[in-house]
Amino acid sequence: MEANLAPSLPDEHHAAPTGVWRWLTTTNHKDIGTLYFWFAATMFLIGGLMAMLIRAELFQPGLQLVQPEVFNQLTTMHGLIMIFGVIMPAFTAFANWQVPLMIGAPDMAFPRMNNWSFWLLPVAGVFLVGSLFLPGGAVAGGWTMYPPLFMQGGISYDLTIFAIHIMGASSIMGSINIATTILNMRAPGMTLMKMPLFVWTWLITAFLLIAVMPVLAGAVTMLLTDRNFGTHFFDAAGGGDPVMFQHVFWFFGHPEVYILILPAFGIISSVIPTFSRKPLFGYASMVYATASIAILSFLVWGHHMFTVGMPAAAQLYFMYATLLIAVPTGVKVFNWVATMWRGSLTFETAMLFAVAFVCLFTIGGFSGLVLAMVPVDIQLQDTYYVVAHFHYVLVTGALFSIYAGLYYWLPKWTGHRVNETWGRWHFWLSAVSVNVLFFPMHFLGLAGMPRRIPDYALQFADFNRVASLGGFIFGASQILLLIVILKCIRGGVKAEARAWEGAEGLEWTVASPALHARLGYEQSGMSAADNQRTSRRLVVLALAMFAFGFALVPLYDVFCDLTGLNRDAAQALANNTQVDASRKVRIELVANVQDGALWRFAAPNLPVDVHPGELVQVEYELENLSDRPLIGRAVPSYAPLAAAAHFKKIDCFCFREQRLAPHEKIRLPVLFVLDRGVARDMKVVTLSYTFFALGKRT
Amino acid sequence: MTTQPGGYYLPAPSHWPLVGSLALMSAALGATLLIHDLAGGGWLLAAGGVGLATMLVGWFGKVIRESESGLHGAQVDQSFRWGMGWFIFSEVMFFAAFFGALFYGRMISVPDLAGGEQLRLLWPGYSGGWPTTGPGVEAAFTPMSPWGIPALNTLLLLSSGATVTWAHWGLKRGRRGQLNLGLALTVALGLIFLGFQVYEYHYAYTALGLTLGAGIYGATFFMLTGFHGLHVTIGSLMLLVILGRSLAGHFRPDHHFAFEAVSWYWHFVDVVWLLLFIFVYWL
Repeated sequence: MEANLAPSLPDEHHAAPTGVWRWLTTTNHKDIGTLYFWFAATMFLIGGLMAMLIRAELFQPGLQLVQPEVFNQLTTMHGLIMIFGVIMPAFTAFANWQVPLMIGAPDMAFPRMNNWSFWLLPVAGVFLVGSLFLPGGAVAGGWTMYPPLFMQGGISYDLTIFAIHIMGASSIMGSINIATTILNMRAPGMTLMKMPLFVWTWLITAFLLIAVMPVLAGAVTMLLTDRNFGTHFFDAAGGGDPVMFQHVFWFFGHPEVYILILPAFGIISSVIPTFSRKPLFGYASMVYATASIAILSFLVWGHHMFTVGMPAAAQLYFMYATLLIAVPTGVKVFNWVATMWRGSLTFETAMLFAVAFVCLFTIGGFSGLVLAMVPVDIQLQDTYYVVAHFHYVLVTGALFSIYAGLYYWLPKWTGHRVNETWGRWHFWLSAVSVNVLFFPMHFLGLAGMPRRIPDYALQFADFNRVASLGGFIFGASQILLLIVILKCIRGGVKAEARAWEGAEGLEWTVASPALHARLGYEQSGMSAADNQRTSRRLVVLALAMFAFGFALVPLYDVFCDLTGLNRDAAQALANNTQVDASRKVRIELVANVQDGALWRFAAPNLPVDVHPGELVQVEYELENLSDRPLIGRAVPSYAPLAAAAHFKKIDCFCFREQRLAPHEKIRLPVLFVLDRGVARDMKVVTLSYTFFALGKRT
Repeated sequence: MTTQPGGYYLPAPSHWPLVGSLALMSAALGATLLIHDLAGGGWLLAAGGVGLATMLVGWFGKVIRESESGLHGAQVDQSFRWGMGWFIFSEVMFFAAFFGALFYGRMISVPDLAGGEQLRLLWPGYSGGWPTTGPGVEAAFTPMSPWGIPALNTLLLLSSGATVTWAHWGLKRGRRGQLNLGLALTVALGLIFLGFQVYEYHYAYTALGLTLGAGIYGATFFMLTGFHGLHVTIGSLMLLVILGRSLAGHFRPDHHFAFEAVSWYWHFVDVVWLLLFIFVYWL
């Protein structure tokens, strides 16, 4: 069969690509899983450094390190990067590595599309991180992108919208792949109710992703058209409503929360039975609990919006529905504890993280119940209590489960046992410092400290200092994880196929490391030397990214000094955030000169269309046509006259003496804002300058 | 080669996904620059479009060659079915976001603006109702009547759903003439639909004063019908490819999922249109 295919598919018989090209073109689920993992790790460094900067700024009251607008960009980008760039890709890394191994599939169902799902992510990542360096800075209105604030930003806002489109496409394709793999590629005899729970949780997560990522795409598309194409989805003047965005966004956003935690449940449900040496307690109830959580997640979005205004009946409904989620989640926590009950427990690092997950995630769950109650939520909305809640759920929840999964499956991926000593240091430092970091935030929130604020009242100083110290230790401790992983890749005690003697499941029946080559497909370059070279490069890359992240702020300043970006603009933007994007005014530019034989004075050829409130720069040109030095001056005038009051000139050459050497030509910039007060019926405004010579023509 | 005995076809490494990523990067960057009137935007967007088209042709061309070489066994075929089903589900959710916006505008935000405190304090004299440009947008427009072109378009799309099914019957019974004719008719109906829609948009802008900026009605009207039109365009292109393959002798009565996938997609587009006709044009 193969021989007669060769003519029609000539390129398939070339040797497997090596080097960078291998990673760019790979269709192997293990390679792609590894790529997802390193992408998540890189973004974790960047997002983590932003968190460090945030905590450093909040170390004491007053403005210390960054300006408020930069602080807002940091909190926004930290959120977007950690959610879309770290947690989701890290879970997808696990899905890529583990799902085919766990269900006995040769690979994912659509290997090429799998590659595309990954390679879209760096594009989105570059857009997100790169937008920090654009004029006006990155998105600063919070990761939720609420209008009308979102309407007022600059170019980076549109770039962020496209980044979200691309990440959405990546997630949807990745999820279709995972769901299809699970539904269609299981080994004979593996019925749905015999699948490992990790596979179940990912099947349900994939369903959630396919259901809600398109809704997010729709929501940001409406933002895009409202910003640029004159629609009125979120503008009350046109019959729309900014609150509508919140409804659409949280219809995506709440299932998204479970997208970030269901795979964590799956990992924990794999780790705890292994180190308890007992099967998972209540497998079927775990499956049904996961499914119930997924379904409920579509019905509770309103609890993010209790304070924006909704009927009391709706508040009651959303409150009860939200509290209902505690039931299946409680089933899960009960089952994990029951699995450990009377097990022969050992506490390897993976198990330590899993146990910490159960305890600390439950704290996050409890504070979630507190926030679900309408009267309490109205007090706590947008305070640090909310920040504490979702960081307990996402850091000690999702992130700790990722750590547990890494310590658990690294032997399968690398073929080496994890260094437990380093691992334990990593665990204890992280587990203690993370509580020092986030627990005081509950108190801050209860005392009324608002989130997304770079400065705060004096009475919050102590807890903030404690939290910041915890944050610095937590951040530094994560370097240990990098060391553990790199050590594990480079060498160590050889791991057997069943790396943990209590582990069950198909993935432990194949060799450690799991063979890179898939059955029937020859993959040439996976020798030990190749491995070493790759890991060396990855170390260099990781260090380079770290250094880059470390140098971001000074580099940004240098960049601004060199280009002059952001200095004037930031000043003006700070005063003129109120751009009226709903209309444009045409500005005709005219130049008159008194003595045309001596001077050439020219306006830009084309009129400019500006939004009221927008910062505009135009350039006039002045040339001395004579053989003598000349002195002159320009005087502005406006038509219609009423427009004059609305021209706010920030920089202008008018009324200044211009001295020109013989035949000298200069450019005369005008920087101005047409303020929002300009009348709606004023569609065309003329700005003209008359230039005349001064004094005697010497 | 990558087929195991009786196993699942696993493709070799491919550069097409990379081309696709770079193309999307270029297109997104270009669109951003274009929106902000910055240099190079149009070129980058065009390059991205060309790259994406190249990727689609190259990638799908490869899949078609693999399929025709018999590499896609029954299990691969089943994967395609699951994949296409999930994809259409994601499309349903995409349209759901815009239908949600339409219902929210009609049922919640417009009545809210025309009653109670808002009316007294913010927009005195606003009467609400539907269609509307909202209280603060001064633009007069006539809503699109459902009984002209839209009703014809409904007829066209419903007929095209019938012709594509007729073509499918032909394929399953080995009647290639019926298959080709049915497909050609479906493509023709789709293209006529698109022609009508372009005319309708032109008419809306020039004669009715109905524009993208005409308040929540204009926004939801053009967003929903526009994205639907985009899907009809994509569906027509896919049908054209299927017609070309059919003329080239591809597909067997028992192995033709590409055809079925496109017809699923076409029926999905059809159903979305019915909802549009009812909720956007008619009610």
